[in-house]
Amino acid sequence: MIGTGVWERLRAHRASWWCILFLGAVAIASLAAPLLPLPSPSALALQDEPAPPVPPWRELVRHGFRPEFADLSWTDARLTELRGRVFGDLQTAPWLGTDAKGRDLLARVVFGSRTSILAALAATLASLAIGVLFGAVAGLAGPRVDNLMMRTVDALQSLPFVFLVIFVIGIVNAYRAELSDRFGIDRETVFYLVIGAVSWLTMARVVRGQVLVLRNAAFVEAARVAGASPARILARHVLPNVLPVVVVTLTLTIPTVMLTEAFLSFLGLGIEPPKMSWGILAADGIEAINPIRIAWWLVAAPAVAMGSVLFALNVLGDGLRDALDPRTRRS
Amino acid sequence: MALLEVRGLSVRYGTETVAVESASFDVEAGETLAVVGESGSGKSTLALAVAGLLPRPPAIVDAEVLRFSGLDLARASAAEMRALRGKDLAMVFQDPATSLCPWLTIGEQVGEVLEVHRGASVREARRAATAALADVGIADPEPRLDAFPHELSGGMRQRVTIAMALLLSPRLLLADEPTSALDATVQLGILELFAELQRRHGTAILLVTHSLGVVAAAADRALVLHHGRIVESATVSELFRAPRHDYTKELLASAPGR
Amino acid sequence: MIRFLARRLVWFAATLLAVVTLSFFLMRAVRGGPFDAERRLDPTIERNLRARYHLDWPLWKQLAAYLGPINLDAHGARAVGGDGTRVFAGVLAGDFGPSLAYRDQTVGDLLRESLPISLALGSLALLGAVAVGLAAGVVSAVRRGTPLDAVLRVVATVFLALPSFVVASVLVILLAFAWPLFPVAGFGTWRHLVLPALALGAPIAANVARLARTGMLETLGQDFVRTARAKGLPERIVILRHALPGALLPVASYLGPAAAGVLTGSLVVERIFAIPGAGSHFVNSALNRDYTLAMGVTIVYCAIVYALNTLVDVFHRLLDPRVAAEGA
Repeated sequence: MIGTGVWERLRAHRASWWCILFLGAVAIASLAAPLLPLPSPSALALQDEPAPPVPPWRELVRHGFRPEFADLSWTDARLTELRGRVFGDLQTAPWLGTDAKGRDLLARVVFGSRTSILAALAATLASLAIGVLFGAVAGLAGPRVDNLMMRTVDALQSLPFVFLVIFVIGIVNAYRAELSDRFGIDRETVFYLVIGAVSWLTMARVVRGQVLVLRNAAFVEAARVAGASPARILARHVLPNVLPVVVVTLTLTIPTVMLTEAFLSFLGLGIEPPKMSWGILAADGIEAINPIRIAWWLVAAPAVAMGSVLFALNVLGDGLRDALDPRTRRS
Repeated sequence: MALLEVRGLSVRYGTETVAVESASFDVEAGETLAVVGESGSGKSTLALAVAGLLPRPPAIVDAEVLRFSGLDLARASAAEMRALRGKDLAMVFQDPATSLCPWLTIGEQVGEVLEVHRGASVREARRAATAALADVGIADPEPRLDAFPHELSGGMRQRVTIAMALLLSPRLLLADEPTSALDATVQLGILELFAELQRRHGTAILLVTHSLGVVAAAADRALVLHHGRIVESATVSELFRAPRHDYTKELLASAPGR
Repeated sequence: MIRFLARRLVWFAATLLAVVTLSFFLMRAVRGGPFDAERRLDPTIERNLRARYHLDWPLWKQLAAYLGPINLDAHGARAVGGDGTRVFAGVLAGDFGPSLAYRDQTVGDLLRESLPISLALGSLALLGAVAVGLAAGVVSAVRRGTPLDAVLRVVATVFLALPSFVVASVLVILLAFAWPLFPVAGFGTWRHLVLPALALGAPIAANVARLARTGMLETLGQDFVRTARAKGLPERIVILRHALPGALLPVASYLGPAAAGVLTGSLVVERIFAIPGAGSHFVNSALNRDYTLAMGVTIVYCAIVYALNTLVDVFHRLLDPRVAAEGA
């Protein structure tokens, strides 16, 4: 069961701790993005050519910070004001270069991380709220209900996932005006909802499998004989033992969702400019590549950003999996 | 000179765990030596160490003398060991369900011993395999050659592994609990098979077992292993009549229905 | 085996029918049509266009007409073929109808041109990925704990973390611009397929390598591998003949999702490398509300994925005789 030795094993796996630190730093930077002394990610300078990166030891900071308040949420606007008061017009030099419209790439990468994190959150919430419940119910219900529920999951999963998303987004776009006026839901929220709507399937299947195994386990039988109600059995015995499997599945779902979000934004079906996403950055980067001026930094920045975050997630996932399932531990 | 000479063999894992401690014994040609002990006594490890099949690392194997038919096993190269195994030194394992390759037919698995060690063709190997299966008492061996292991019963699978091991008339057979995974009725048949094949081929057998019944039925001499150490070494009749070590006496006393 | 395949075929037909019906209604039920994007049409012309494509019929009738093979049009409307000369026969007769956006081409024509290219690219990517991944995974397992193993594992994890469009752009920069070894975009010779296939196959290869390594390690720990060594077999035979099939099984199970992954990846890769494949048609048709084309591509892709999954299952049964015994 969980708890016995898990913390020890996880503590011993040093790579996992580095990943947690790294991901934590990314999350903090992302949340506090408007506070950081970065140039504005949307301040245009259309006459400039893409400028190559300037390493921080050559030039640390510059002057000339121009805050852009359009499209900012209330919190972000307040944070930007605060930043103006703390750092004045100081901003970091273009450590990662600038793009074809004169925008600083480091700022865009940091702000773009918010999209990836939101997508991950949407998927996590959906997986936990819908997936776990669906799977638990299917696992505990009678064979016919279980069969029906799982066949639905099968059918939904047999459609190539991205096709489904593109279809749904295409359809939802038609109602964009109404959704925005009547419910205050913009296309971006719709996008996250769609992501959530398709990412709970794997979790449902996995949880159902685990619940089926647990259902026949001796200790559940013992609890039932002792007279515990189904709800109590579910809460005290089943759910805590489903937790390891849930955590492991999340570590697999989140990287997939981030990739999907980037993929869709790249195609122009996800987040739209002026909002930022690593997918959009990659799309811009590829557009700007030409044989004469190889502006490699435009592609390298989102590539390294995505690559490092997903790499860290994968390594952390491996570490968690090893810690939670002692049988897969390799000496 | 004994067929197998072992002096001071020890097997360690890391710095703390000692699986076998300073074992010394001989196996003479044509005899059956039983290695008895409870689970965890190190008897399987002993047999695997002699055959050189313990993965090292993590196992650390040490021996003053480890000689088989004059060849120094401790200093033999991997290629020399490979030439030895299957031909002069063979092994039979406990669970026939897992010790046969699930995706190769019986004929392929039995025959490849001949193909590798004698360079036989597929057809020759097949013929030899058929004969070997018949030798171990499998009626109508031909169609069995194309069957997969999961299609055979436990007893038949074990006979197949024995046929595979004895195909090239090895001089020493290491049998690691060959009957433990089988039904009681089948066990006796296997032990009789061993006796018969020993008579025919003159093979020496190192028989690892936890069952005193098997010792009584099949062995000439016996070693008693306790926590990795050999505590008694005697002929079978001496062992049952006049056990010397306390642990041996315990073992004998605890055997049900003696 | 025959019974297994027959059952699969029935499920396939049922699934496809469901997919077609569902997407049909989803697309039609939503406001907005293929002709909205154009400049305001004269209402009469628009009415005629809608009539021509039967968009004014009740939905169930449109679906039935789409499926065919009986032609429900009382006037035998000839709506297919560039000059509108052929009668639309319906999907069940193999006719996907006219493209609503590319007015003078049928969906069948468009697919016929573009699908072989996508299939060629996809197969190349998949085969290459499986070959490379398998080799890397097996070597990694056999040389476990060595620096080679560590390097291979890190490389695999890196490629798992990079989306195919990122890999594509890096490849373009490195191998097309910096060192002009391969053409940047377009389609013509085999050389045009190399970079896209690499970009498509990279994440697949990484996954295959991981699966192969785990499968191999597990198999190498099994009793029958010890038996093989006890028989004095050369290590090469132990690994290739006795252990490898065990590593192939998890890889085989992954081939279904791998193919689906290649299909989705092709959407992006075809766009970056300007390859005239079916993937770009799908994205554009979704954006242009080109119903027939979108349906056509969806049906074809579903069919491919289904066929591949079935093939994988067949391969599974052949590879591991125990599967055939239990799952009949």
